[in-house]
Amino acid sequence: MSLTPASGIGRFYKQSAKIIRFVRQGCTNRPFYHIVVMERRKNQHQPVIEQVGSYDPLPNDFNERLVALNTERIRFWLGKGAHLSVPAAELLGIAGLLPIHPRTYMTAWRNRRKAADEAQAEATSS
Amino acid sequence: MLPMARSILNGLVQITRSSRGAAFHTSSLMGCKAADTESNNTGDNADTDADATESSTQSSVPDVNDRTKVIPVESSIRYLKSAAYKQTYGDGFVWSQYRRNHKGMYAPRKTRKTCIRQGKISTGNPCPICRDEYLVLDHRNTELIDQFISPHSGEVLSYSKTGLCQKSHLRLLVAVQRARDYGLLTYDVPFREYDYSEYYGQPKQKQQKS
Amino acid sequence: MSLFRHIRSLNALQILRPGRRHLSTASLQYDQDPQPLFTDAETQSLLQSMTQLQLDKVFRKRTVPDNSTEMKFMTPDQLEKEFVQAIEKARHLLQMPPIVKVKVDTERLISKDAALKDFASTKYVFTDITYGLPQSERKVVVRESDGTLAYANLETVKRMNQLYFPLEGRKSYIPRMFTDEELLKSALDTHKYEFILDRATVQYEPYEPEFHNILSRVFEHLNESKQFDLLRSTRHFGPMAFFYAWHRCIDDLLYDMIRRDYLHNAAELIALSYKIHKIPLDYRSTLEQISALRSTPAEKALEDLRNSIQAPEERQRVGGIEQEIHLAIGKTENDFASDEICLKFIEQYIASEHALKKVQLELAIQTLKEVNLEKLQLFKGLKKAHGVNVN
Repeated sequence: MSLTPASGIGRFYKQSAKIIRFVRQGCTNRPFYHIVVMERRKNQHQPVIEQVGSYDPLPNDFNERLVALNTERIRFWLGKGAHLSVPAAELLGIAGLLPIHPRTYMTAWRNRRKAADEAQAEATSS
Repeated sequence: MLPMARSILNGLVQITRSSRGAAFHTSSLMGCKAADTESNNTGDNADTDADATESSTQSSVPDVNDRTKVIPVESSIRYLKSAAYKQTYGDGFVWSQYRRNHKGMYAPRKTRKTCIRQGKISTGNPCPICRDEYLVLDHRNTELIDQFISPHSGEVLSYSKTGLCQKSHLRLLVAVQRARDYGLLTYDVPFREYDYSEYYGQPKQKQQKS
Repeated sequence: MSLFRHIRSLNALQILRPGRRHLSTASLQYDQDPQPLFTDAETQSLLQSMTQLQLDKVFRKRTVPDNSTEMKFMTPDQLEKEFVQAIEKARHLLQMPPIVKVKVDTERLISKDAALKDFASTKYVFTDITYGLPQSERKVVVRESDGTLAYANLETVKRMNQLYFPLEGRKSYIPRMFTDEELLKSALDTHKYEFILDRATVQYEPYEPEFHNILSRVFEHLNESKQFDLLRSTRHFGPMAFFYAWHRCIDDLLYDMIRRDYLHNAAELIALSYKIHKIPLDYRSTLEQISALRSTPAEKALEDLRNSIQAPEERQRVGGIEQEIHLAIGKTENDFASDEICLKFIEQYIASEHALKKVQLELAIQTLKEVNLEKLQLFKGLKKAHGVNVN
């Protein structure tokens, strides 16, 4: 993996579909994502048009997951009609930039149900 | 090797009284022979040489290459201020008189991994820190650490210049980092430029924000 | 590798230690917002004048990666331009750290969504990395795992700013020097004032309580050790003088200034304290008189620079014997005149109820007067001997 400028080195085709999505960087067992704008049809390790943020899914010492977003450019690309991948849309929803994605609500609901089930199971067993 | 530093430093109390013999051993090792000390101490030298040869046969005399004894930093700091240190190293740095031994014209890029193996000096030409057991690398020992910092760039001097073994060099890096963190070692802090408008701002803008 | 591990463990220890040792707070703190008074144009000019501009000290040799020098042939015009630039640069290096009140953390909620509870096990921190924004306007928001979205607290904002836009010299952890009482004390006792202050300016933001605390600690210690000259002509002298004036303890600094024959600075310091505490005494007219007789530090430094390259013969040709005399004595007629005015002003202060160490100050004034009188006599005698007219 070589570093490319955040402005990207990918070719820009006027008519093709663009997408804001994650690109997995990092290494084995250590995921790290770049949030990028790229051609929808391309594979994630192809050159990107622009990098608009980063996402570190592993919590740090303070138990936080860090996300950096270049909001100005994200809004620009969304206005240009760029698509959004689901994980990216979820993240932008959590950030308060977009309405919260339905899938986030589903995960939250599932997590709560699982916690309640576990609590119940514990109560019955003891 | 001669029972060099050990005999100097066994008791710093004795230094003032009989520093002549001890200083001679170290200075001969350092290659900086003060003519008068040499002439004064020929007899003394013979005595201690005899001691050194005896040490192999008699177990009562301590081994000069033995480095298992831990020297506290405080005595190292005192040593750096003592007359014995002054006589041994003069005004120079502890590393300035050291020369690496190597085959051929060019020295290997890296120095040796360590001079001390299993609590003993395992080489004939130990690095400037390892050869003198009273030089202890520690963040409190700023006088010693200072000798390894470039006065021009403020960086730690490379081992290719100082000749420290890799282990000592690593210890030095740790000591420098710690000393800087603790504020014992001063360095030039990068200049911070303030954008006043960020802190003072315009009163109108402040009202808008709040 | 093991070095990194070592340092990492050291850092982790500091972060994770629950009751991090905090410094004992200094006794003197700004009780109200000092910023309007500090940023006032008059105060700023007073502080800059008190700071002085000693080029040797401002441009002292620093340990920076590139310490090379450049030699050039220049025409006098180019040289003059270079001088002006050097003075500009020096003034920039003397930029005072801002003095603002401590910022209080306020909780600013954006939205609370109960349906989002437990959507993730950790919280998310979002940083806006849009290009070209100033640090203070950069938005950092936090989504807690219970679904609330709020602006991050100051500590997180600082951490994120340092992560995405690092400031050179700032550590991601607080240096042990600032957390350990004993280390700070030993640094203070060895008079590393400038180093501590420099480091504090880099490590902390001016509105942080720790910054205020460390500054007060240093200034209080300095007031006891009386090594004010260590900070003269550095960026911290202005804040220091302001601190003393604010807390009504200028007497030691005043004594130091008188002893070193910086009478105009002493007068400015008194004027500053009058201004801060709104004491109804007219200081403006005195200041105007002094400023009319004296050049500003920048002008003086420029003058010194110009003189420094002149050969002795040339200097004699340009300025004549008069300048030689000025150089030998270290003072000009204007200086003597301004000293007179300053002395009057200072004596007035000492006589008033605001001065606390009257005897000491009076003695200093007395000795200075005698020295000045001798100098003046010598000055006049020299002038007479060389046939320069004395008025």
